[in-house]
Amino acid sequence: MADFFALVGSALALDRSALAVAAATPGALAAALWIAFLGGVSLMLGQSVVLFANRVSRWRFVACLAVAGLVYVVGLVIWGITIWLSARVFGLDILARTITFAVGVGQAPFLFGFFCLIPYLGTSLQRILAVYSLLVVVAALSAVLEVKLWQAAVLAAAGWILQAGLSRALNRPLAGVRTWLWRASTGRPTPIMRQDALAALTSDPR
Amino acid sequence: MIDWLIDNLLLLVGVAFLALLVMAVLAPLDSLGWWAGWRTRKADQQAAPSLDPDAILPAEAERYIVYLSGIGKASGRWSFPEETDFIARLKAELPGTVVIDDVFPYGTTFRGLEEERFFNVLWGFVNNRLLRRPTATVGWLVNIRNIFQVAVSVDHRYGPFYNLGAAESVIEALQAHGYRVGNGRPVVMIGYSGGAQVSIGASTYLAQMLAAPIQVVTIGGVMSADPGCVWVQHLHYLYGEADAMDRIGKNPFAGRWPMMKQSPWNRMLGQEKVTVTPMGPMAHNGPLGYFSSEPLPNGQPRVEATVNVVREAILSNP
Repeated sequence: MADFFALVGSALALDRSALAVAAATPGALAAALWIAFLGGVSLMLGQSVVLFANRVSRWRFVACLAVAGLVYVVGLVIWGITIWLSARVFGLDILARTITFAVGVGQAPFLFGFFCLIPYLGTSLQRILAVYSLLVVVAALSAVLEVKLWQAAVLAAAGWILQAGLSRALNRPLAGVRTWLWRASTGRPTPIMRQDALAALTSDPR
Repeated sequence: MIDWLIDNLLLLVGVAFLALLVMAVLAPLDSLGWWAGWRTRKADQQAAPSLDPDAILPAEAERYIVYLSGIGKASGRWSFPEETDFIARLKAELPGTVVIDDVFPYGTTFRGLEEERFFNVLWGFVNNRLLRRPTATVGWLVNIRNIFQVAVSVDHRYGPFYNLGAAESVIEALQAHGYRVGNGRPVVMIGYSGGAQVSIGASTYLAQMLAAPIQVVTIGGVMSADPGCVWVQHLHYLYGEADAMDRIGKNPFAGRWPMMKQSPWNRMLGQEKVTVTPMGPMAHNGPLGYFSSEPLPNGQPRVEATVNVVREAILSNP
């Protein structure tokens, strides 16, 4: 547990040497994936207005947070794979698990994602956390791959572009999976936007 | 000794900051929980009585005014003495008018901080202290808590739910005073300080659910360019030259900057739906505040001047 918090601290401090050491320890990947999972859960909590708007029950709410955390980890693993593919293109021969570690610890700022609940400032905070998270990913990639910061940034960007392209190409086939996940976790047929919900309510004068 | 003081001071500042963060994070949960069905409003908990056509309802008044107080308001069950005086004077100046001042604008599921679910022991204590001495220092806690509720009303993610809850509270209060929904009788919302934001936010729903014109009078109002501006028939904007909150209060809201031409606020200004009335050397609150009995340079008590301007504003409405 102490190692876990030390890893979070190193990530938040953008301490590249500490991250390089941590990456070589046993259990580093599991700790990084836990950071990613908890970051995803915390971020979902910060964005939970969408669950409240859809009138999700308390138990479903908790289930949705867990599902969101898992989906977040899956997304990051895919990003890790695309970075690994990009690295191969650039001639770097590295383990995919090393990159997944870097991407996972990079989500440490999102452990504070629940603060996005704060009214009025929450949306700006989310952007700040996203930038912070990207900086940690670049620092961690630079540390574990022993490359310069700009090279790590190029790799992260290349991986992200590849992932975005994949996501666009698979958008239609994955739509069914998304709907199924939404239904299974929330118990609601389709997400209702808050404007729709409120418009229906106010359409009839009392 | 100095090190010890610095250490403990830092600890205290840290604890206060943490408490502030907790308060901010919890702020939207009351209205969101109500919308999601996790919480019920006090009024909803009582079984709705069946509508008996022969039941004697209070007579409908000529005009309805709802006063929403500032962020110092701790409960809908009592008001600060200077506000009670202001309301009494306003009622005297507007015969045939119902003035409602028991709506609590800073909570969706309760009518006062004594019923607050998070830290209810603390809020019960604060409420009792303020009841005994309205100027008690603990009032700052209420101010901070209610600032976050104003922020919830402003926030585009939470505002729709919060403002709907506020509108429901206003409608319940109106009906309790004889207002017949559907008759289209205009409603005047008077919003003081943060109550101005809640008034405008709730206007979106009041205008639609009552199918009636909504007029707003703001006194030292702190408000954003809320989408509710679109639903306000006319807004009277009263500000004191010594009111620092009026100057500070508009800056954080980008939609109120003149450069944001298409914001609901600036569109309302462009349509000449806003009447701006300077109130002379009046401060936001305290002895020089809008509701104080301290005389202005012309010898008129401040509260009297405020009542006169509010009365004229209301009577000038179509």
